[in-house]
Amino acid sequence: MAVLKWLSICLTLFCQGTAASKPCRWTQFRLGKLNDVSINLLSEMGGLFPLMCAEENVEQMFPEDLYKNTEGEDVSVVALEAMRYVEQLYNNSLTSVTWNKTKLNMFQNVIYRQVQNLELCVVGGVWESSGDGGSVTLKTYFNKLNTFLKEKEHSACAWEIVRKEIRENLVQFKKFIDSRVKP
Amino acid sequence: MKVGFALVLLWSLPITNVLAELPQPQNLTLLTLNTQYVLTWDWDQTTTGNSVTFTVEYMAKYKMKMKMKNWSRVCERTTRTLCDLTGSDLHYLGMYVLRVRASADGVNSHWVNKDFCPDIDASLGPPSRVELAPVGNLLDVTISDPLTSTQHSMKEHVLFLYYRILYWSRSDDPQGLKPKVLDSSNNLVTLPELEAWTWYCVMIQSRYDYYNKTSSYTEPQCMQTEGDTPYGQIFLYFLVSMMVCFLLVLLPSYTFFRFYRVLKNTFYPSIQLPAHIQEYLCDSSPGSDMPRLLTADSEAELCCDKLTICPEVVLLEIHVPPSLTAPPSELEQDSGRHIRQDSGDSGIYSTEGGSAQQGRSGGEPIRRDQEVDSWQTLEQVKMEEMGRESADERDLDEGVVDVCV
Repeated sequence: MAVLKWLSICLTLFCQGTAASKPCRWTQFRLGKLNDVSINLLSEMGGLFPLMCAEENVEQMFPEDLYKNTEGEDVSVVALEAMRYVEQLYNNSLTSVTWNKTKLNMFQNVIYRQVQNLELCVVGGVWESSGDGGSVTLKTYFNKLNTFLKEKEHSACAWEIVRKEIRENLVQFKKFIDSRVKP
Repeated sequence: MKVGFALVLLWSLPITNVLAELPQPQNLTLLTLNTQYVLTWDWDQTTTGNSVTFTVEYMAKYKMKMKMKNWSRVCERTTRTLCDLTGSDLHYLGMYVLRVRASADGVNSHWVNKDFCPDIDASLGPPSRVELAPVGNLLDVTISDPLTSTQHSMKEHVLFLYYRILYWSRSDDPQGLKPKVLDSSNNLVTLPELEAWTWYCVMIQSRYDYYNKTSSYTEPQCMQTEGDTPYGQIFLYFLVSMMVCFLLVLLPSYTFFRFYRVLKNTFYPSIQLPAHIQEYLCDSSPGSDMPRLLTADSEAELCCDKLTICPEVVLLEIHVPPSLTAPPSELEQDSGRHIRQDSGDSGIYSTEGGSAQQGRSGGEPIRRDQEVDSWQTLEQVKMEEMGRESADERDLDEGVVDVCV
């Protein structure tokens, strides 16, 4: 009886352990690839940062170690949060942007797909995650961006700054995925 | 009255129903291959007859949540029950919503929607080309990727595309029922562990694991492996090359060395002519007395004047001074010659006194009336003269009558 009890405990722990360590299929195989595509689209849709917006430029708002602080959390959860925030951000008015519309639409399409598939991955699709470090920083950061955009009345230059920020964000996100997800 | 009204209403309802609403297209399906997408649907022709047209539109799925939806129209009022979306720039990784409706006589049906994501739904084509090449006793398979509608490789869109290669020996397994399997994402694959000089057949399929996409197999292609060259062939090549070498190299060399002496003596003889003979043969200066048929400059140097010889006038008396009696014109012609002749004749005096009476004391026994071979005629004349008179003074240089200066 005791042996059986121990055995069942061990099995349960083992199963949970494997479930926790192994990310879902999307995260393992598609997340990185679609993230790369997003970064490329962001770079290609507008070219270099325009000179006329240089005076409005601010310090980078994105904290470099944002994703490093999410060690304990599930990759898929962090990914889902990040992708959702980006999607929401781009729901703002895009009328003043001068970017290539095809590439912009494609970018939004890809982010949408990331969100859809990650939602299937994350059990329950919890919006507020249990962790504190990573998600709070993410939330704060994206709130800052949203406020910034609204202040500048969604001007072209404000969007250029946002584009630069999001690109840096996704590059750090790529490093985060590469470190956490082993193919 | 009321009943009648009700009846009219009842009658009209079905009619208005039919007029107001057109049935929707059914069973939207997508026929796809790589990046070629064709949307088809079913339509019941019997209900409304012929003049029905269809309109197809698409939009990115993320825009569905927005208030402002802008659908892109692809096929407008087409009479066929299909629409080609290949040229619409649908991105392979994007998620789209397609919709169709029918129109007839100004009445439109409701839209029928369908989700479409090429990454998930578009089927994969087989490799565009397969080439086999024998490499020793193995086979090299060169695989060309399936192509998009713009002739680019599908690996641009499907990153983890790989190939499944089935191969079997034609002699062991003619139908290909138990093939060996090899998976590879490379475009050049070498099939391992094959037997030499055997026919093998190959079939290839493209695969994409994440969405479980597999293409159809290519047509079986067969090729024979090669192997080590058989000993008989090696020996034959050796013999042939040996014969060629013999013919081209050894035979001429042997001939050369054998007849070296003969050749040497022909072209470079060791025995030379004595020097004076050689000189004689080779001497070509004009002063030499080597007889020759034709000298080089004989024509140029030969300068003959006309010499007239009159054989009939022969004087016995020969006087030394020619200037007294000789006709001046003739004398002056050949002064050089004159001198010589006269000097030759100077030693000869006629002993007959009587001949002096003849008066012809011309120093010129010989008159030049004719153009003759002067040398010979002169010689003859002199000899006659000499014979008649004393031969004491005969140190005439008779042989030399230099008529040619």
